[in-house]
Amino acid sequence: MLALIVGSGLAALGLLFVLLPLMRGAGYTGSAAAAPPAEEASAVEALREIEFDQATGKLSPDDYASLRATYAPLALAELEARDAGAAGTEASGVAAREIGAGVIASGDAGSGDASSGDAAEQLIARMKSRRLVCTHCGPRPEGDAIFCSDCGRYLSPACLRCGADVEDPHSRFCGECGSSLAA
Amino acid sequence: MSERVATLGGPEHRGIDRRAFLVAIAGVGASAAAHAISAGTLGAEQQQPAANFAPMEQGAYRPTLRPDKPGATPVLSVEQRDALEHRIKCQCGCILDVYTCRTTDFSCQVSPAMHRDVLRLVAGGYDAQEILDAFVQTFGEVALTEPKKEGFNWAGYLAPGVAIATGAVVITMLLRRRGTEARVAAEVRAAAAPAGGAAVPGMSTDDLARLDRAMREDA
Amino acid sequence: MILVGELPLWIALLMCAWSVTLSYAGGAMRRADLIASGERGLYAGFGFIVLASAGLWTALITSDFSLRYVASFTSANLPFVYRISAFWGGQAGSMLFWCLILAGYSALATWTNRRSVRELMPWVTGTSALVLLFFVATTALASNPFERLEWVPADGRGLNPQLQNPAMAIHPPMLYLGYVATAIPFAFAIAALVTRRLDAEWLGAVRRWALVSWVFLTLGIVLGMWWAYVELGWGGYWMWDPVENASLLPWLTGTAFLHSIMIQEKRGMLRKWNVTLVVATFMLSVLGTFITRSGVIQSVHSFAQSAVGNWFAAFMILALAATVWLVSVRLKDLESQAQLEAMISREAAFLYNNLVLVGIAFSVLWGTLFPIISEAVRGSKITVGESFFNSVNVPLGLLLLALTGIGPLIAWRRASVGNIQRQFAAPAALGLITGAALFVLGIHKLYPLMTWTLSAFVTGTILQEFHKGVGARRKMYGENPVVALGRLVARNRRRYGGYVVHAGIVMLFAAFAGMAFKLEYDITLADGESYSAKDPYGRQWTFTNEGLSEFKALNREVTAIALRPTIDGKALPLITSEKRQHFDSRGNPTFQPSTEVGILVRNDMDVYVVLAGVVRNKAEIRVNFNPLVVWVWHGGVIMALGGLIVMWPQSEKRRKQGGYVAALAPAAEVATA
Repeated sequence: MLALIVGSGLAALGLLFVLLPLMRGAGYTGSAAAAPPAEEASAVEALREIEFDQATGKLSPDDYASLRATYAPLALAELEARDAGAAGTEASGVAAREIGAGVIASGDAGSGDASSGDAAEQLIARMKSRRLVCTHCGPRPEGDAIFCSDCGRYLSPACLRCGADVEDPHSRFCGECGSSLAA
Repeated sequence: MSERVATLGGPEHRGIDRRAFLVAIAGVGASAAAHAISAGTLGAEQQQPAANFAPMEQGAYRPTLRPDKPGATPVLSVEQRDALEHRIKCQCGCILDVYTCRTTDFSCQVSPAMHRDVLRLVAGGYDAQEILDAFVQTFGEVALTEPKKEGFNWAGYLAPGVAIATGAVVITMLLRRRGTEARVAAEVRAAAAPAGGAAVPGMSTDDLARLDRAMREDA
Repeated sequence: MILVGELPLWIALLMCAWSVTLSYAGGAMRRADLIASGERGLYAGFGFIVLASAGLWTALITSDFSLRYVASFTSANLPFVYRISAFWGGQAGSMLFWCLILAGYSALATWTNRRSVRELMPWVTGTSALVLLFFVATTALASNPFERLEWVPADGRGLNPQLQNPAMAIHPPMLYLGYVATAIPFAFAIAALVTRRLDAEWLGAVRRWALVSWVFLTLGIVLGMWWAYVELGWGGYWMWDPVENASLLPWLTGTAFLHSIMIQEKRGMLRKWNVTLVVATFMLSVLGTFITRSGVIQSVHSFAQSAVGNWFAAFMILALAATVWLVSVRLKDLESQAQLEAMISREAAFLYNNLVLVGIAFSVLWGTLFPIISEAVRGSKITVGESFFNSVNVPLGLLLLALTGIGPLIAWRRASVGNIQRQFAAPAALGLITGAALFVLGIHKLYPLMTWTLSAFVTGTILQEFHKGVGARRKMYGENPVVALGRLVARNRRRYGGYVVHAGIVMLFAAFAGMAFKLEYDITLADGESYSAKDPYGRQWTFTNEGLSEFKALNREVTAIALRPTIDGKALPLITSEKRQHFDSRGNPTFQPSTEVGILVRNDMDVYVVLAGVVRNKAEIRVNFNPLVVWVWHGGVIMALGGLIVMWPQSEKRRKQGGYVAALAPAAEVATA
């Protein structure tokens, strides 16, 4: 008998515990209320690792150079933001997020998960969304090509003068420096 | 199945034996063992069968006898005989071969009986293959510790190899296709690679030095 | 007893059902209140399962023989430790134990991730509650440890003597902790598929839990080997028994996953493959339990007899169908955007590693199931024994060992000739020199020679990796070698912890190869008689029977033999081997006699003595010389340590490892410069 009473009591307690959020209604947010912002990957850390991997033979020299070229400006921006003081906390986030920024802006490869924070995917998507530029025929529509399908020249994924990304396949001049994209 | 209907602690209670146990052993030891045990639990109302192990069947022995060859002299040495017994599976329900079973568990009556048959056949002048064949004739192919390499058994031997080879071919083809594209790109890249490893285009030496300092702060 | 025991089990069942419903509904409708209630249902379910477990433990400790389970697996004279471990000594108890672990894991995973991956969490909670619901339902309905007897026996049957071994008290929990932990990555995979968030976000949580599972499985498997070796007496530690295989399968796919996950992190590739591995690992864990529980392997005919077996079969079919459907409707989201570029690159090496690991898993599964397939196809029974598994898996194992040495040396994306020359010179030289030396010393068996050559090569790789890593740190940060080594491991736990695991693997393989040289002798000795035998190293041993003795211990009668070994004339400590007959508290014998193996452990080999029996005062014994066995246990410990290094939580401030993303445009990104 006693067992039954205590047992029902226990069950009732359990029920109460489980039902509480429902009783508070749809506005209840519960434990999931305050989600801290996910920590941003630091570009300086990335550079350290690139340096380390190169030293231990995990990167070929040209991969090393190009990875450094990708991360060094980001890391510098991060450092500047950090120096800027308290306000810089946000800015450093901006710098680190920049890897993915191009994707969102260009929209081309911006599939559902472009904003997902998967740095690898975002960087790759950004690379793909760039327009390749032929020195003779200008920006090309073919995303993956290595050589221009019209004239056979090597395709660069950016303005040849200033290095800015070219995103519009119809642009005839670079949006950054104004130099002509086609000969 | 009758031995499972044993009374609690009764003298004729068989419970789990080593053999049954060996069937259930090791990897997930306890759980398996436990299951084996549960099969032998008390009371006739226990309905859970001893699914995971075959109880030791002391009656599983069947004689494997052949007349001695005329003028028979043993062609197998003691070592060869022991090696042969490693290739014959004990039929008591364990997972061991005859040699291991008879030298591990003294309560098994099947493996010593099979051993005696082996001795008689060896004395009768039979060679290893003939003895194996004789045991297969008596018990069927379960008498061998590995399936004969014939017929459908080849599927058993070859399937893993075929599966892995297929996987390897798929990976190779994948890499080949990508590889050709990449090779051209790599040549171009090599031609266009910047000269200095550490230099980054568009950044001043001051900036680089600053980065360098930041990177070395990893204490 | 019903209060703490059976009743909570039923309440837990309801709580799980509640949690599944509310979590899924909350996830679909994006209602925080439903989600919160679902989470709480899971926590409450955990609480009630804890109560139920406490009930069973209480019954076991206080010898409440009115419960069938307690009467079946304990007796009044059973030592205290084994009363605790009797919890997982039988089927019903181990089912409850499984529930307990799963509930704990699920609650922990829900609690720790409730803020970080919010979008996934209702689905994770719901899926783990669903798996838990299945296990609790199976326990309560088909295999209830609280089932009562109609009468109360004076004493219980007692625990099987082979389970009365310290290893047995910890080996099953370790394996269960490993098996069950695969359910959490599975829940995350399902959640990721449902929400289409198949990116790096879920990888973090999944990786942690996959590691937990891996470490426990490793420990469980090695402890199981140790138990089989010291307790069962057939002379080895692994014989490809279906139950052993069942524990190896999820370990293999889990290991493959822990490698391929790195490619997804660095290059965003192999998403489909990673989801497949996560699901496969969980399925194989359930299959392992199914194989152990249903008896489908040993006897095809007992298939339909075991109620639990049917539950498992139904669960596996449903789970598999649901996952296949989910993956097929999400195929597009799983497309990766980067591509593999070279046959010789780190990524490709990982792929080969995955191929071999999964290939081994397939061959083990195939060999385990082949007797059933064969019987179905041809109608004739066959045995697939050790030699089958060895003939297929030894070459694959060697390939895997080689890859363990090759993979870490290769550069990401594309390895140049120069890179390969620089990286391989020293390790390859070490391997070849070792191989040549062993050959000259007279080791001509192919597989052991290859194993030891490759072991030396991999050891070279590992040492070189540590050396280069320390060198890089000294150069970059100007640290002294000791500090550099410490920080090297601390800052790159995953990579260098992984190398420690590799070192353990090398030790294991080297020790396995030793068994190719084992020798066994079948000896009959009367009192005072001696036998001499040569060991694999060519030394002369003699074994003198110093006498048989019979005595009673706590719950058993013991027949023991004392053997005096000498090596090249030098006397060594006595080896005793025992035959034990256990009895219950009223003096009735229980179980068949069991063997207590006598082992003289040495670094070069074990001397392994089994007293098979006594006939007319003559002891029938088998003596094995088992080379290098002790290194198997050392290797296992090192692997687990490496796993712990990888798993050790890092403070939040520390870097996200795998910091940079080795993403490069398919064409020439560099050329922008």
